[in-house]
Amino acid sequence: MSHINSDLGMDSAEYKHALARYVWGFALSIVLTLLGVVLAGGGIFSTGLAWSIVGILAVAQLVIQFWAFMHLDLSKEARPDLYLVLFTFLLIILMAAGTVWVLADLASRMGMGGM
Amino acid sequence: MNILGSLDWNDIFIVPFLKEPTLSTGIAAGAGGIVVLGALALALLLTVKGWWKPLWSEWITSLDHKKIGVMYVVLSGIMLVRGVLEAVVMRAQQVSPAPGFLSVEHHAELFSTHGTIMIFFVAMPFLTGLINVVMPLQIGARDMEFPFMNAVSLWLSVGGAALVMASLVVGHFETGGWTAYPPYTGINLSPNEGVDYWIWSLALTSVGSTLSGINFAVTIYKQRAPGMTLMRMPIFAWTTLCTAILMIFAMMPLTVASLMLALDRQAGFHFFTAAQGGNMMNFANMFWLFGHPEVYILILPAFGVFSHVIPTFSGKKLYGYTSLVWATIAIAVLSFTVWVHHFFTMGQTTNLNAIFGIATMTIGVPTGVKVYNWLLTMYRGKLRFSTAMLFSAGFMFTFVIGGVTGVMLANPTIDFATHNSLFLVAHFHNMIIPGVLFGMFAGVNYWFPLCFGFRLDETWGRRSFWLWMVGFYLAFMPLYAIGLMGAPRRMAFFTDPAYLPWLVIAMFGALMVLGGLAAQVIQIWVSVKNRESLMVPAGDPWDGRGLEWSLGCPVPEYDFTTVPHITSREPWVDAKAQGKRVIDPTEFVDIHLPKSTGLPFVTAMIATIGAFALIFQMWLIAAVFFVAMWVTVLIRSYDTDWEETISAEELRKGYEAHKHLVETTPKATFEDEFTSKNRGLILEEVV
Repeated sequence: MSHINSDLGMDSAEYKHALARYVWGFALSIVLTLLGVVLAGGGIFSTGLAWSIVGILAVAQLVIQFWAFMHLDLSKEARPDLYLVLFTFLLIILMAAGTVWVLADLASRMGMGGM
Repeated sequence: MNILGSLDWNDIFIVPFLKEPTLSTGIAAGAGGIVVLGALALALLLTVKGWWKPLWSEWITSLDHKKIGVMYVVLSGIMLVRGVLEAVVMRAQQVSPAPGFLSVEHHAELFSTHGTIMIFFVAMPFLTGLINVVMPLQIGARDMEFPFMNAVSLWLSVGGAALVMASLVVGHFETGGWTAYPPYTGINLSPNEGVDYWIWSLALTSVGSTLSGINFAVTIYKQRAPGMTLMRMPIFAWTTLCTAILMIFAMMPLTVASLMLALDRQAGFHFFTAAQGGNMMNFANMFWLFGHPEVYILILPAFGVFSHVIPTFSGKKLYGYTSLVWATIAIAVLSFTVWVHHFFTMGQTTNLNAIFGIATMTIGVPTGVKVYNWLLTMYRGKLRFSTAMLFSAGFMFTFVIGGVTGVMLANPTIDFATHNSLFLVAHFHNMIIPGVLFGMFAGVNYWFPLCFGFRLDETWGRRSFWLWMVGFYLAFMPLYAIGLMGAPRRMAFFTDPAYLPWLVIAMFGALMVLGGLAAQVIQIWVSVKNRESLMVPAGDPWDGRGLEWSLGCPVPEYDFTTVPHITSREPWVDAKAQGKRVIDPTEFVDIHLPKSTGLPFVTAMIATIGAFALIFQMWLIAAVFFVAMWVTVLIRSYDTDWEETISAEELRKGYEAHKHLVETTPKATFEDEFTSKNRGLILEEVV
C-alpha cells in the first residue's frame, strides 16, 4: 500500500474542483429538502400535485448526491460505476414493483381490497 | 428463565432411540453417531499425525485466496457426501413396502436437509471456492480486494454448515422442505427448533455469500491487470462478475424473509400469519425473488468453467466470445424477471402468469446461444476427452434435456398439471446436477494442479464421470415418468404399485451416483499417493489458454512475480505462439500481502455459537456472543500491523527459478498428456 503523501495538495486546482463539487452537492441537497418541506407544509398545491412534486424533488436530490458525493457523471472514467448504479436501480425497481404487482394481483383475487 | 432455553435431554440424538427403539429412530441415532464419531476420528487423526498446528497456521488462519478456495471446496465435498447419502436413504425408503422404515417426520427432515444442504452448503461453497482459486489468477490479481472479509465469508459458511450438522446430534431439523413456506413453518404448526435451525444456518451462510459477492465484484472492477479491459476478460471472470452481482442482490430477500419468519416465530410478529394482517404468500414471493436468481448464481460459474475446458480440450479458440458475454449479461438481468414461475398455482390472475411464463421461455434463448457457442467451439477441433472434457460434454447433452422440460414447465397450463409432482423434481435435478456439479467437477479436474502442483488421476476420474452420468439418468428419468403419471413430490411412501418398478430403477441410479462419489474420493486418494508421477511443476499441463496457466504449479503465494500487461484477449496463447515459455516480466517491485490471522475464524465461530443459542432460545448467551462478535471486529479495526512484504528480489528469484524450470522441462506431445511424461507446459503437436 502506498504511504500517505505528506503533501495533501490542498492548493491544487484538482482539489479545489473536487471541493466545489462537494459544496454544490451539500447546498443543493439542503435547498431541495427545504423546498420539499415547504411544499408539504405550505398547502399551496393540492395533495396529489404536492406528492408528485416532492417525488420529483427526491429523485433530483438522488441524482445530485450521486453526482456530488459518489462522483458519478457521464465521463468515460465513471462509465462502469454509472452502469452499476443504473443496474442496481433496475433490479430494485424489478423487485419492489414486482412484489407490489404480484401481491396486489393476489389480493384482488381474494376480495381483500387494496393491499 | 432457563439459561439453556428450550434445550433438554430429549434433544440429544441417542435419547429418542433409547426411549423408543425403531428403525427410524435408529437411523437418526446412527446419523448423529456418524457425525460425533467422525469428528472424534478427525480429531484423533490430527493429534496422532501432529497436524493441528499446520492446520491452524497454514490453513485456518490463511488469507490466501487459493487456500480459502480449497477450504470452500472441501466443505462442499463433506456436505455433498451427506446430501447424497440422504438421497439414497430416501430412495430406499420409497422402494420398501409402505409405510417404509422411516417415520413420516423423519422422511420430511431428510428431504428438507437434503435440499438445504445441496443448495446452500454444496453448490454455493463449491462455486465460491472455485471462483476464489481461479478468478484472481485469470485477471492478473494477487489476491481478492478484501482478503480478510473473504476469510470471514468462508468461516461463516462453515458455521452455517456446522449448524446443519449439529441438527443431527442435538434436536431436529425442520420438516417443511428447503423452501420452508409458512404457515407450516410458523410457530403454531412447527413449534420445535427445526425451522430455527434452517433460519439461522441460512442467516450465517447468506451473509457470507453476500460478502463474497461484494468481494468478487470489487476485485473484478478494481484489480484487473493493466490493459485487461472488461471485453478482454476471460469468460469465467465474466460469469463470476454476473454471479457476484446476483449474489449481492439476490441473497438479501432470503436473509430478510428468513429473519421476518424468525420474528414471527419468536417475537410474536405477523408478517406471514393469516391473523393480524399478515400474508404468507409474500414469503413465497420473497423466497423466490432470491430463489430464481440463485439458480443462475449456481449455474453461471459452471458456464464459465465449460467456456474454458471446451476450448482447451478442443485445441481451438472459444467460438463467439462477444455473444457469450452478452448472453451471460442477458441471463443475469432476465433472472430477476421470472421468479413467479415457482408459484404459478398460488392464485394470481392468468395474465400475470402468462407474462412470467413468457419471460421464463425468453431466458432459454441466451442459454441456447451458449450451447451453440460450445458446440461450434468443438466443431472441427481436435478433441481430447479428459475427465474435465467428459463432464463438459455430459453436461451439454443432459442440460439440454433439462432445459427442454424447463420450457415445458414455463407454460403455466402445463405447470398446473405437473405442479408439486416428481416431474418437477426430475426437472430441477436435471438442471442442477449437470449444470452445477458437472461444471464444478470439470473445474476441479481442470484447475486442480494450480493449487497442488499435480494432476488428478485420469482413470478414476473417467470412472467417476461414467458412474455420475449413467447414475444420473437412471435416478431421474424414472421420476419424469412417474411424475407424469401423477406421483407427488415429498411423499414418505407410495401405495400405487405402478410406481414401484420406476422407483427401483431410480434407487439403482442413486446407488450409482453414490458409486461416482466414491470413485471421486478414490481418485483423490490415488492422486495424492501417486503425486510424484502426476507432478506438473512447469504449469499449464493441458495447453491451456487463460492467464492462470502462465504460472507454475502450484501457484506461489504471491501469484504473479510481476503484474502482466495485457494487450489481447488471450495473452498466454499469444506468448506461446511466439515461442515463449513465460510471459515477459514487467517491473519487479516490493509487494505487500496480508498477514495470516485467526480472527475471521474466531469471529465466525462466535457468530455460530450465538446462532446456536438463538435456535434454542438461550437469549442471554446469544446476546453475549453477539457482543463478543463485534468486539472481534473492533480488534481487527485497530490492528495496524496486518501486512507483510515480499521483496522485489525474492520475486525476481521466483521468476528466474520458474523460467529455468520451464526451459529445462522435457517436451512432450499431446499423446503423453495423461501420462507421467507430462511435466507441464510443453505439449506439442506430433509432426
